[in-house]
Amino acid sequence: MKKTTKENQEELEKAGRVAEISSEVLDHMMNPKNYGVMKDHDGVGMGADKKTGEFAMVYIKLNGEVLEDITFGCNACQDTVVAGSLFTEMVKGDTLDNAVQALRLMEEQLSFVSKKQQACSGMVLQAFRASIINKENRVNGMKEDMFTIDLKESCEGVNLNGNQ
Amino acid sequence: MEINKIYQSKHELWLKILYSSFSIKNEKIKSQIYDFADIEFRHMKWLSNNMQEQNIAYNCDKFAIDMPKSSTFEVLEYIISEIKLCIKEYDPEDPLFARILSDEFYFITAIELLLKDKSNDGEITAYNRERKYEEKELDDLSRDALTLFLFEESYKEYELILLYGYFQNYTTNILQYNIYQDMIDESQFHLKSFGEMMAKMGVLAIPRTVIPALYQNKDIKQFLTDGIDEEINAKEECAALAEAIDDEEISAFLTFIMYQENYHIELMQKAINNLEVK
Repeated sequence: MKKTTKENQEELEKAGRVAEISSEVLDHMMNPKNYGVMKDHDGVGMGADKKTGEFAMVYIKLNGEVLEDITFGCNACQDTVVAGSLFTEMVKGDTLDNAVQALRLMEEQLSFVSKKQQACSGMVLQAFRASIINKENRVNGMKEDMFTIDLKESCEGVNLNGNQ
Repeated sequence: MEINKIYQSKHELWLKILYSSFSIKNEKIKSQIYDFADIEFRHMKWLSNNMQEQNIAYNCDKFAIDMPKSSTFEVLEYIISEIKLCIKEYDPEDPLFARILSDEFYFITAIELLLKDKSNDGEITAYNRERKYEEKELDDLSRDALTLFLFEESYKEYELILLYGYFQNYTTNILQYNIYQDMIDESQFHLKSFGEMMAKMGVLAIPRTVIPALYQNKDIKQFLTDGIDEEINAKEECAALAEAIDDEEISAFLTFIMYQENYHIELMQKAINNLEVK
């Protein structure tokens, strides 16, 4: 017997899948923007999920107040890839202040999606936040290769502070 | 040119030929081009062995690759020009490159012969983003879920091929070496299967670059342990997708992949046990 849409939806959600791919999302999946390591960076940060071992890294290069270049890399799922591609495209070439505003805005938007998507997409935002801290630490004379922020919620839906 | 730069060019060339084979519809040409990609992968292995012997570090970096998208002939001409560009980087005095050149001269000749027969040309639809799977009627949810699955898993297989190749290069233990080879062979088959499914759906895409944090200074035991968790997750996703997708052929394939993951888990556990004995 053919399954109903609702039954399909439930099974796919059980498999942890996002059930809607727009053409814009597909474009970021097929061709992620600003992906890769930046060698000559001013700051690098990592957002890490200790439970799954997944992580995102963000590299930033500043020219005065302007975020001249930003790239990301990850060992994570497509939600992270799409979020990294979207976010870096959005903030590249803008001021750092505006980029931080965009980060907050995107975090607000993420409160409307599933816990899994929140954690996976949020990984990139935490990595960006960490890259700014790394840049500031370096400016203040610290010899720090990278700053890492551990996620509070794993993308497996586990609270990493000890609660389920 | 430095050998690690040539390795990167060969890595890119392997992907260009491999993804060309996925995009071509003519089964005979597809198979021939896939075999050439397979040989290019072996060239990469020879180069990495050579670098390891000389204590030269290598990485999995690659530049962005823009694949030809209109016709089989455009794809075939692209392969020839990319091989010729790569050949320019070789050291003619090095016997290793003599072997590589002999293979690649043959590839060029064989592809030129294909180009002489106009009936070999055909349309490329692997990148048209239509997301139709042959004549199958997939509902929107199944289609989206299958698309995501193919992106996740094709990247994962590509990553595993490179990482197991990397680890293989730095082990002197025969059991470890053989396990990594089995895993590479399995992942090559999976990547081929997923790549061809992506081409049928019009969403073929070269995987993103594997970042150095994944393989440099890596604790192999931890990598394998995490890998077992990933295989268990992949098994669960295959099972859920196979159940949810209302198509006998795709469901049967996903179930087959799911059972193969069991074998991968056994192999990885065997490698962990062997590392612990050492």
